[in-house]
Amino acid sequence: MHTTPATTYPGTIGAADAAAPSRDLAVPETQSTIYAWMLTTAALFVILALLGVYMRLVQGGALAGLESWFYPMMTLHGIGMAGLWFVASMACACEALRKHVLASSAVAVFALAGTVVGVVLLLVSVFMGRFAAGWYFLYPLPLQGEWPAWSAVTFLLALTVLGVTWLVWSLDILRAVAVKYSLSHALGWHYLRGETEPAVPPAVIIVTVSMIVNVVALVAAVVVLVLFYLELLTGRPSDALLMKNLTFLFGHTLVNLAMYLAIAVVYDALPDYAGRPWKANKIVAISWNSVLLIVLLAYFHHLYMDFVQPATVQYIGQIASYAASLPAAVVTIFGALLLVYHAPMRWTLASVLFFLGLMGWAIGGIGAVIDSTIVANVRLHNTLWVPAHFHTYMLAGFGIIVGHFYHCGRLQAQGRAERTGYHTVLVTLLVASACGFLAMFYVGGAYSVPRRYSVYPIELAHGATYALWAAVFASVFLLTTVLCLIEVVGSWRKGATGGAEAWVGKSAVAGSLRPSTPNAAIGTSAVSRVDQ
Amino acid sequence: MWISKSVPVSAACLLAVLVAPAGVGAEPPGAVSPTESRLLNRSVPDVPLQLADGRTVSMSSLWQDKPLLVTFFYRNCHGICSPFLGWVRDAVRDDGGSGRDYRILALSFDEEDTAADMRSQADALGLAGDPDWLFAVAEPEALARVTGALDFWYRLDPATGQYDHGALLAAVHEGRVARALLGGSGFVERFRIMARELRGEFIPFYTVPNQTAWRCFSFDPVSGRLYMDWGLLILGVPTLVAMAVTFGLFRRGPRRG
Amino acid sequence: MRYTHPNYCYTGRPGGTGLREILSRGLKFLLLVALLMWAGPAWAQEANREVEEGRALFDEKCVVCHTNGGGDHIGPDLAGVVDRRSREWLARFITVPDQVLAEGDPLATELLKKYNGMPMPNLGLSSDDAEDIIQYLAAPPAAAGAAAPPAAREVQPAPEMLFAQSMILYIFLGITLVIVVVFGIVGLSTYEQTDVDVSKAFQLRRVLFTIGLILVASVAIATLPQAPYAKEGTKADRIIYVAARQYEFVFSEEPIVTVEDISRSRRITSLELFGGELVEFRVTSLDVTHGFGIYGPERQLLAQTQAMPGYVNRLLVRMERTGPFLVLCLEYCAGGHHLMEAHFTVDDEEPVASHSTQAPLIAR
Repeated sequence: MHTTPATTYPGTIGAADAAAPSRDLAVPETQSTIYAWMLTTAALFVILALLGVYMRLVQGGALAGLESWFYPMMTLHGIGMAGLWFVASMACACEALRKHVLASSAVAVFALAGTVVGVVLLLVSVFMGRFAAGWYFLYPLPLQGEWPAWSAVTFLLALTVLGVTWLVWSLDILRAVAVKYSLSHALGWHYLRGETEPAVPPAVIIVTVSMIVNVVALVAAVVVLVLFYLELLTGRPSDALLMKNLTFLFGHTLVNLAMYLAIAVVYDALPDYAGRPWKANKIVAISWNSVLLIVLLAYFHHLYMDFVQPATVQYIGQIASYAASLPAAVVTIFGALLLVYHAPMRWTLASVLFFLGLMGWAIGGIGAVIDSTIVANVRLHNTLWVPAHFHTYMLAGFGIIVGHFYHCGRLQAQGRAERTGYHTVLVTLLVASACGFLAMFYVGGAYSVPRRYSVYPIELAHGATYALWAAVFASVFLLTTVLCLIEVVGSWRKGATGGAEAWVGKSAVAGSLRPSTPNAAIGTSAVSRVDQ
Repeated sequence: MWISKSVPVSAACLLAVLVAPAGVGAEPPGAVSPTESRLLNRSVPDVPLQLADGRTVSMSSLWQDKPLLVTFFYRNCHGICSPFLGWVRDAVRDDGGSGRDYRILALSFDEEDTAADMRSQADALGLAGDPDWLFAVAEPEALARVTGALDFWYRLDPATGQYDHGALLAAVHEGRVARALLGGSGFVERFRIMARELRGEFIPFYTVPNQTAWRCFSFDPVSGRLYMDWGLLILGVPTLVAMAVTFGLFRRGPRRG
Repeated sequence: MRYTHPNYCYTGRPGGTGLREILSRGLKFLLLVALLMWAGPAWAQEANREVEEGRALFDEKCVVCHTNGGGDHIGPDLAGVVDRRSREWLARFITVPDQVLAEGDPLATELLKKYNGMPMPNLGLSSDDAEDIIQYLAAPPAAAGAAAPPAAREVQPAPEMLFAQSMILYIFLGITLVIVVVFGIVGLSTYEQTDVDVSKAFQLRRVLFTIGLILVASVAIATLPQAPYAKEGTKADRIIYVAARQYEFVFSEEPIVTVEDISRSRRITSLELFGGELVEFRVTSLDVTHGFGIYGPERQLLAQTQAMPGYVNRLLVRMERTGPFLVLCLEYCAGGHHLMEAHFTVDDEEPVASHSTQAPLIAR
């Protein structure tokens, strides 16, 4: 399709040609759960973000009398956002992958249902049991808080449901990749040997890497939960150091992966807007294979302040955290910038959000790399610097996800005019409020204001000022996000005129009835077209 | 069908590890008892001592260039003194650190003891002529200052002519107590840890007693190393399961057509 | 479950007012009579002993949630509670709070509501224990030895940022600026659409990768040796044992490994250190994981470690600054997390001659 000379990126192909994605064939026949996810994500994001605003208001001293719900809401906000980001990235990655490989629709529906059940259990645990052990429920806190034992058990059950559901989901995606590719192709090892055939889309390589690492993270979660249950049953305490290692192997990796999956989405969708291909090659393969190795070692930086962890492991943690940033920066971000540089870029709400999302990833990454330096960690560990950097990631990730939702919606609405001016206002507001919101975190962190304090001690009373301003910025951000989401849903509704009004309801039926062979054929043809 | 193969494998791996006996092993005996810790950092008075060879030296000259291990005994003890000194001798010999890292002072608290008694005690232990083993007596007043500073108690039982007394080994570094050991179980292991600390090796943690299952690391006082415990194996389980599952899923290769 | 409390299970049989209990009550009565017949000093001494034991119990069991004159905490300030409530009610609530609550006692229910639905747990205290605690709470503050309420601390504005912290912030802002500029240039470049020489770009990538690698490696090499982990040959001038628990830090001169150790060990109630001293904090936790973050006079972090149950972390800090120090819990530990703090001072006095040969960790 692209008549690309081997050594140059075309600058002036017709934008329409480049932007016409070849998916119109695949989409109508294989309906996905993406729209159900979209509604779930939008609703949950707004609720959970409101909780975040509530937290900052409490810290700012503006909600006298409502402080006692701070820690339960902190727990819900944390686990909710981490989980939401993860499932939304998973859903988007599955959607992006559908033109290459076909995951089971039944499992996708199961994942949605399991997630909903898990969330309901979480809500019961937090709202009725006031469970408040924080999102990574560091051992042995869940067993030793002020909340009743049943709420801790409900919380653990909720995580078990979520963990098992997501594990099945990840395994199914891996299975789907395995149907189409051999392991060495799916991981791009043939590029390492210097071969260029068969061409494998970068998204497939990233998703394969992510899913393997994902299995590690989720099995770690299962082991943590099993050890919790064993203690509940036998009363024998576990080793706090082991539990902490396992918790962060799970928690850190899961949150990292959510970002990687979002990046896979960008790899997949950004070329549509840049009018240039973004193909896998040796460097891409090397970088993502090294991520596979490195990402499992980087979590050690959560344990720097546990001096009982052998120093060698701590040093490995810093080196691995640094090393993880190189492929990301030099390959992915450089690749994206190269893709866009002097390209016939079609700037829409989606592509702007992708681009800003990548920038947020880079900035949050710098915050993370600084924090993963052991000497700096002494001053930053568990201060507001930590939420500062991961909120940067998170906002970047949500930008990409919202962008992808809009992208999916627009695919249905080819040729309709976009409200460019309005979108410019929205994006400007988003960026400005996000900057303000994040700056309050970073400054607070630099001033050693601790995270997870419902009320600041009098020595750090200035933390309350940052919190209040952050609440103001976060409110503006939330309002703008709601407007963006309305745009996204609007784009989908405009596109849905072609007889697909009831995506959500149909997906289950479609998933269970659909024969599998034609889809595989569609996938193959789609890929061969992309790789021409 | 892929599920039917990979799940039992991973479940079996997981079970095998979880059911495996917990790494009971000996807890690192590094914890300092409250009585011992009470002595830490105390100043030890610099008093004159008379050594077995008859020389009189000041105590500070003994800890000037390297740490000094101080212990108390008396020659005519029918009780713990000789065995305790024997333990210390063996522990020092096993550790191999005397002379290079520290020297040892055995100070008599019996006013009747003389330099000759010191020589005979050194002979009895086979330590005569060892330049790093010093046996000494002190004037009553000087002795009282040292024993007082180290909380070492002793009381003469007039009926038997024997002393009731404790067993103490205090490491004195530049005039201050760096570590103290009271006799008792685990003495040899604790001695090794102490010797390591005297050499300046910093043991970054010690465990407090509890019945924890599956530790990641334990400390081996003999080699002075941290060694991996069962917990680390559990930490490896997720990765192993993921590898097994991945290879299981991709084993059949792509389906063409 | 109904017979968990020692007072309710003398015989181990439900409902049994056994012979032993009658005897023990009779004996106690006789003892009391004998005690009353004693002269005044003995009586006073006994009361004093009760106050002492009450204080020890209060420090061990109650201080987690209550203060005696220090203001409300998780639960109410108990100073003067003896005047507000009947002794019988107090004794019953101290020994079997769960039963009192279950019976729907209006006072208890109101308290539960007032203190965020956090019920007082049954701590397994006997009625004698309760009597000791009530005696302690009834004693005048001087006798009770209650710490004077902390001197009124004033809200202070944000301090000047420490060098390390501002370095971190400025490095971050600097690199962020570079990223924004690069993205901006690339974004704006799309207004002028031209072909891009990919091979040239890949050359640039190679250069960038090399620069990045060198940069990252040199930063790692420069910063790794400054890690706060104790190095060989380190000897502290002073060792402080720290036991963290929900929601307080206990400083002691002796290791505290169990809750019982707190009342047994020599607790440091007001810690004073000297400028220039190398202090080793041996930090552990008695319940959940806590953090031990040392804030200097500038109210910013100088050093920290975690307090993990089952392990002792050894944190070495050279006290280079003098003034009031603050310790905060830096690992979330449930409802009272933000209340968990301790204070110590570093005095500007001639320190005892340091006998450390190296200066391993300096809190700059």
